[in-house]
Amino acid sequence: MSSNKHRLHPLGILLTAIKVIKDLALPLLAFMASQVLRQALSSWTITLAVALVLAILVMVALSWYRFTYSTEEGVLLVEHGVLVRNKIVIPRERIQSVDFNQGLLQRLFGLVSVQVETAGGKKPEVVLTAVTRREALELRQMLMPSAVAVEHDPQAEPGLHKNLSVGYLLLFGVTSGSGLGVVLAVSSGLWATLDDIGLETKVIEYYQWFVEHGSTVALVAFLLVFIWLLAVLGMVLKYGGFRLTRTGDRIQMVYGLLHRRQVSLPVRRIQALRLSEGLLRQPWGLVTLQVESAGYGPKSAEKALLWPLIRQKDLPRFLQEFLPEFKSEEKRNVPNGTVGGMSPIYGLIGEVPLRQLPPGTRIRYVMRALLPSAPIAALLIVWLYHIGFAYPLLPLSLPLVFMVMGLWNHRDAGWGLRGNMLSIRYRVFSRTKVIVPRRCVQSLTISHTPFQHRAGLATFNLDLASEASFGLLHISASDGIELAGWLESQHQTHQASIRKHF
Amino acid sequence: MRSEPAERIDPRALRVWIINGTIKTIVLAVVLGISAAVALMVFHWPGWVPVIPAVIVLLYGTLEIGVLPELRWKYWRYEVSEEEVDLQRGIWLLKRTLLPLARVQHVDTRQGLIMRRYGLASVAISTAAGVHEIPALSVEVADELRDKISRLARTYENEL
Repeated sequence: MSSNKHRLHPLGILLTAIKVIKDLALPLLAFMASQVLRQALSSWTITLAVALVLAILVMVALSWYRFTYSTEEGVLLVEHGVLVRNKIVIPRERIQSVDFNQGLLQRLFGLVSVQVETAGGKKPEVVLTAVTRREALELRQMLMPSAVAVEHDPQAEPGLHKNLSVGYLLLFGVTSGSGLGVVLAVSSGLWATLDDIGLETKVIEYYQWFVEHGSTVALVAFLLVFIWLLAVLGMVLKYGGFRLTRTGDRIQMVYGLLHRRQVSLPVRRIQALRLSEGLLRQPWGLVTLQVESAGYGPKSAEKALLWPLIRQKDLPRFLQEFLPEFKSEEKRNVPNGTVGGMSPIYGLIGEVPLRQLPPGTRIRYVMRALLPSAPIAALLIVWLYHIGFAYPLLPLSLPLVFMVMGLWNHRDAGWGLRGNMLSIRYRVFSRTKVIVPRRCVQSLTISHTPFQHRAGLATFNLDLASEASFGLLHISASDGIELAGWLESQHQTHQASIRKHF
Repeated sequence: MRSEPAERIDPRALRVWIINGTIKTIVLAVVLGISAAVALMVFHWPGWVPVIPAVIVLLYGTLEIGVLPELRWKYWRYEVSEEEVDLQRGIWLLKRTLLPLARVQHVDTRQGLIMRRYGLASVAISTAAGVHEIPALSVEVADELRDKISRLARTYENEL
């Protein structure tokens, strides 16, 4: 038994030490800097720092020495701890996924970090930080014989797979909100700085200043573009080489150019499919796919990127290939072959026809968006008058923007039922469509205020095990009843099957 | 329209809520009273200032003791059928929640100090997405309901 015990690769000591020191680096550097500034960098502070680093190395080496793992009779056994010794025993049946992660250093040495997740409990249950690739593969073979999907080895792969092309990767980076967000944050920061310098008095002065300092403006513009490019590069590095694999009843996503990440999950744990169209992506018909997954434990919910970017028109085929579970069960009564020039697949998957909100609700959406912004705008206008700003009515644009957003939210809101699938579409900034199988709805709440009641309207909300909650404001009350009926109707079939059972 | 859920919660809930409301009001009064005293004596604020906390306490007390418990009781209804738990509650926003029994993970009864005095218990129904609580039932009814829900939920156990 003890002969079968493995230690992590010795380089694991280095990796962990680097991580610990990196976490400590900032406060340590700050301390050193303050010592240098106060010219108090005596020999004992240096000794102290060196001693600290040595102590960390010794601690890490000790805990490396104590950390052993073994697989015996289908059980993963991990022992660790220097002062308090811990023993973790995980039976193979409880293991839900075995994923590999590779940081830059680990890639250099051909090592992987193995994450073992179980159904329930904290996530992940066990992390083996440094294991050779061969050992990791053996480990997975041993622990998950049913799902041996091998990355980096396309030939050996029995399942379906799809790689993200470089073109789509770049498009994904360029259209991502995060790049734009960084630029906006930085430029608003610049704006505030301009204010501080005292340039806020008149727009005319701004203009003159712009003319005089043409080169400065160019520099700032250049900087912004540079930051944006950095953000795009960040996205490309993070999601480069994206690869989706479907093997049997599991899906697996592997991505990252430097740090290679792997996420795998059983399809039955997927609680909902999210199709979101960002503001920059919607005009080009581009969609990002995410899945909501859930473990058994309360804190093990997560949202995973299923596929970064796909064209709307390619979506049905994609889902047919990788997640046919998310097509509705109730097939449309279409004769074989194509109808009206449309591929028959179109009628079946994901395309639940959406119902829009009742006609009288638009004004409610607009008012809802408008009302909170109106007093803020009023206060701003009074204040701008007070300080003598040249265009004191400028804040009027605020309610206008909110009004347009309200109109948009109303126009894009919708929901639909087909068979076992519920689709909900809404917009916050990006337009998002969520597809939820009935068996994943944990509870449905339909509520109304007296105002809504008088207008025959209601709000619905459903909770999923992924701790996500989806709903729509102002559907018609009769639609609410229909929704409740949809949730209940599964039981007829269920009861029937139970009766058949006994 | 679907009919309302059939069962009401125990009328003694009113007393418990009124006692709770009274305790909360007293705590609020003490906290605001001390701050007002400090403001007057240490910072020498003008003499009319304590009127504001007094009004707040009065309003809060009226709502929490005189108005809300009654209304809350009036709208709270529940029903447990073969397939689901149906809850209705809320005063301004009237909420109706359907919990399919197939999703129920476990059920427990809970009892606070005051509730125990009045022989009341609440039933907490847990799903993977959270806990829903039926607030105040007599202990017998609560126990019976808990057992019924857990028995019914068990018939669905193999589904997930």
